[in-house]
Amino acid sequence: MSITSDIIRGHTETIILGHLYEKDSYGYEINKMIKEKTNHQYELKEATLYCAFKRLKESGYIESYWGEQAVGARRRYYRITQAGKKHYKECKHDWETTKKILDKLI
Amino acid sequence: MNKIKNYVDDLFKDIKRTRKSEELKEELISDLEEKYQDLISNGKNEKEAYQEVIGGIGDVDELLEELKEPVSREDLEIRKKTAFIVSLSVGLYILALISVIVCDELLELSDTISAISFFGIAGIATCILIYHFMSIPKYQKMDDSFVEIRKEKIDARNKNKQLLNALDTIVWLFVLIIYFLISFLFGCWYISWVLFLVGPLVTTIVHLLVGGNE
Repeated sequence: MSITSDIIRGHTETIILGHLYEKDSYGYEINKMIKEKTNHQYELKEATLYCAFKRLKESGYIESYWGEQAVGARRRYYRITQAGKKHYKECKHDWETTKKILDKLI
Repeated sequence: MNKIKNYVDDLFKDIKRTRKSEELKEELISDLEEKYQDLISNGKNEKEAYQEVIGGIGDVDELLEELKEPVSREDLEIRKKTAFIVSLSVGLYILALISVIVCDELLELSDTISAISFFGIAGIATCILIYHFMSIPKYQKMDDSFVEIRKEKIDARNKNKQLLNALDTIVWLFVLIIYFLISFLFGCWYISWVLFLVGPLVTTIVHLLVGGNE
């Protein structure tokens, strides 16, 4: 499991971009999606998630804004930028190539 | 619920309160609280849910490291300059005393010249000090944190007060200089003390003129 975690963690940013590609979202929602898609096998630490947000923001791949809630605290939402979309496609392409190579080797 | 907030507050306790750090904290708390609610709805008890939420935060060191700020170079420069100005002024005060002894005892000049030399040098020292402390920006704006914005507002209010204090000092200094000059020059010690009644009068007028809106 720890090896799997390491490999997944290496793609945290791509996973986040992939989710934001579909719709704007916030930290917990993204993490919940990861948990659901992996059948509760994998979940990001909040620290890892926010570090990834920070890097993506610095690279100009995502933007954030505060969304007002009807009830409770306001939430910080993230939205993917054009540069982010382009980067996501490149990352996805890279990953598919890697997957094919690994499938041949392992 | 409050337990989560307290835990996050504790994580951030050594971090300077800037807009960036407060927003990150707010984001973290709202995410964690939603997760906590979800765990409770899925049948976890409060203790289990709390422990799972806290355990899921992970190592925040890297995240918080960016929020820590070293002492700015500007601050260091101001500190150095202040040290220089203060020692220079103290040196001048000592020199003023020495000049009186030299004029009086060694050169046997008149009292008036000794007085002029004393107050002249001491006056320069005082001017340097007042100028320096008035010209330092009271608060260095380092980033757009709201704590600092609030401090700036207070500063603006205090600015008037600082100006008045500085003016008071200057008025009293002048009264003192004029008192000694007149007394030495005309030898009218019996009446010159009246000048000290002029001091409060002048400062009151200054306060009315400058701080009239307070």
